[in-house]
Amino acid sequence: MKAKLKSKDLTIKRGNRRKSNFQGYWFVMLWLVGFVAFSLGPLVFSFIMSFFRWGLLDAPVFVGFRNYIDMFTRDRLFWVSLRVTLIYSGVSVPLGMVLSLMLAMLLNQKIKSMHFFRTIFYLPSVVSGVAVSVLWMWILQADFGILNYFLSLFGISGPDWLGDPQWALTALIIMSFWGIGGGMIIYLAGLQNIPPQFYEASDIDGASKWSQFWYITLPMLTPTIFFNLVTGIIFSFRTFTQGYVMTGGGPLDATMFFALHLFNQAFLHLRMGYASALAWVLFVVIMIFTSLVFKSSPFWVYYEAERRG
Amino acid sequence: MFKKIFGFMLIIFLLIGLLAACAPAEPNEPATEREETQQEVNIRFTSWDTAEMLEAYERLVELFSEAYPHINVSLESMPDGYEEKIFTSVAAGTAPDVFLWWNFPQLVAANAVESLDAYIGVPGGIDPELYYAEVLEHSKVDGKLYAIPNAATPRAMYFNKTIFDEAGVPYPEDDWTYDDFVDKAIRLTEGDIYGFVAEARNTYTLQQFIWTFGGQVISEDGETIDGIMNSEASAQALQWYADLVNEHRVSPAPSVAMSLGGGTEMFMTGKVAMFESGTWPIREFRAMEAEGFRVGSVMMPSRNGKRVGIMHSSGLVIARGTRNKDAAMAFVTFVGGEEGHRESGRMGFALPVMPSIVEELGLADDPLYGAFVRMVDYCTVTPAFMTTEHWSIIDAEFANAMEATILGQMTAQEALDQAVERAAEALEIGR
Repeated sequence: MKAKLKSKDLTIKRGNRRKSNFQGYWFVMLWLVGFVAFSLGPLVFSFIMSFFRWGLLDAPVFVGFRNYIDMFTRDRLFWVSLRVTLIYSGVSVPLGMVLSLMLAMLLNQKIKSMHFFRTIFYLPSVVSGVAVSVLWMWILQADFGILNYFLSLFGISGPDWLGDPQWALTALIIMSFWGIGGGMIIYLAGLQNIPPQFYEASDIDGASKWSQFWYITLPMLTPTIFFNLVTGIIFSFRTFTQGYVMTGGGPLDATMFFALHLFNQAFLHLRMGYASALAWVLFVVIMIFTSLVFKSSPFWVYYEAERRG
Repeated sequence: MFKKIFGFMLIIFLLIGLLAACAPAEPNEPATEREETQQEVNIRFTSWDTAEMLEAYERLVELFSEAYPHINVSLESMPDGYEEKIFTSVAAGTAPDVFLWWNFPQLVAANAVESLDAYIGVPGGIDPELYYAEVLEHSKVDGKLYAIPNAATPRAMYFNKTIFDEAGVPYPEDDWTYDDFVDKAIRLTEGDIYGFVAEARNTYTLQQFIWTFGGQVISEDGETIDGIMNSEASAQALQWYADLVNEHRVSPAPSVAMSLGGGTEMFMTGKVAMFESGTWPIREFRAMEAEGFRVGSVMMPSRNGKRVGIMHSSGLVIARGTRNKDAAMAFVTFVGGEEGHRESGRMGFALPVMPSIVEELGLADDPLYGAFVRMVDYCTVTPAFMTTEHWSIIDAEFANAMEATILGQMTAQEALDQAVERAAEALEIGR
């Protein structure tokens, strides 16, 4: 009897909650419509199209798994672009994270006019991709670019950064650090969330700066590092602008990013179906890497609220 | 419960419907313009040109609206990603009624434009006799006319007279040879001045050298490249071109040229003595002549008595399914007709594609235009992109071969063999 009553109570409650949940949808309706029309719709559509041969303006022809099979067996640039993207992400993401953390620690000091410096270092990440690309074409210019001028002060004659297939990708990786301000601002927020009494207590215990960093700062920052790692991976796998604007994927496909290869297939060669298939494979690749990070997170990410033991 | 979900879905669909209603409405009702009422019609015309070049079209649109007051033309400029934007707008049904184009086979294969055959030879239509046959041929796909050519230019050689004088090298004449060219380029290269400027991935211009060497890029039917693109003659031509950079060092490395602003910029800043291009920069050269810039032009050199040139041409096309076909056609025949050519030729924007207008404006005797006019007769081979709608795929590998040879990473023969193999594989994807 008691049990019955309880379950009835629950149903009523749940019903009410449903009602109020539903009201919530009204508030997000605009977003929902946008999501269905501009994200979910195209997503489903591109998945279907990945099984077709389609030139954008002609009638699609069903080809089964042809696009996916050819990608792995025939498309040289699929492997080239995958390799380029993996190298780019593999180097630029970890290095960028280290650099932005270092910068964030520097900007977390209590010095006068710190706000000014924070703004200065964040500013570059606000500039749009194309403008940055054009700017860097000049910085990386072989004969009178500022980077090679800087190197020449140390007696190093710098390479033809963007013109040499051996150096072009390295140049773009160097350039990627231009955007570390974005990661920096998140680290800064993370750093300021660390309760100061941890440091005070460890000071009293005589901890060195290094062990404070290693045993307090870093563990307390792991949720932030986790966030920056996941978004960093996703963003770097989708790199496109630099290749499109600065190098056109060259020289000799040295900077042929996956997203650029995809774009070329779609809009240069008018292979919409094949490009859709590429997009889905890119999605799976990104999924694999992010889920690896997620799976590994219990071993290295610590949340304040959680208890272990 | 279901009612709620149903209601929710209904609202979503209604909202989507609302969005759809906001989408560009179908332009005016069909067929009204056929009546003699001269009802106002709006058409959109899109060009890839910007700045000064766009002014030419603004002027033409102005002249057109004087002649056809009831047709309003809105001119749109899309300098970046032109091809992609046109393709997507055609797919979305929002294509401009008239637009500028050059790569007709791809567009026709995509079924995006109207054939203009029905307008040939009819009053107020197209008189094929008026055009250079070579140029009109460029506007056809499988024998059907799809565009009215509005501008074309063969490529010829510009030279900086000041640099020639300073180096004590005689100016080139139309009867010069490849050996003369290399010889002059070597003698002109000194300090930071180069004799010539080669382009790393410009397979379009490379074709004229290949043809002059007796080679080919693709079979006439557009089906075969093996044994053609990588033939001995074609490889010789590419090697010769790459040697200008690597062997003779008369041209800067491609990336250096690029960062110095490319060929036109280098030529105008006096960094290069000879420069091969179309008629596009002439207007700017003329303006600079007032400030002491001394420039001449000459036909491309010949090799063993053989000279083959290459032509760029663009034309106006009418989007398939436009509701204002008659108005669009009126605009196209105006801009691509005698009046349009006379006006753009007079403004010095392009070589008119009608012999009569060229004669009328005296361009054959013009010190700068003359060489280009004389080159028209030598543009005897069909450029590769005209033969197949899949050229962009082949060209990606062809350009890689060109770049690899110029960077000195491979011999021309190796690079072209590899390109043929890779292109064959790339063509098969998704078939």
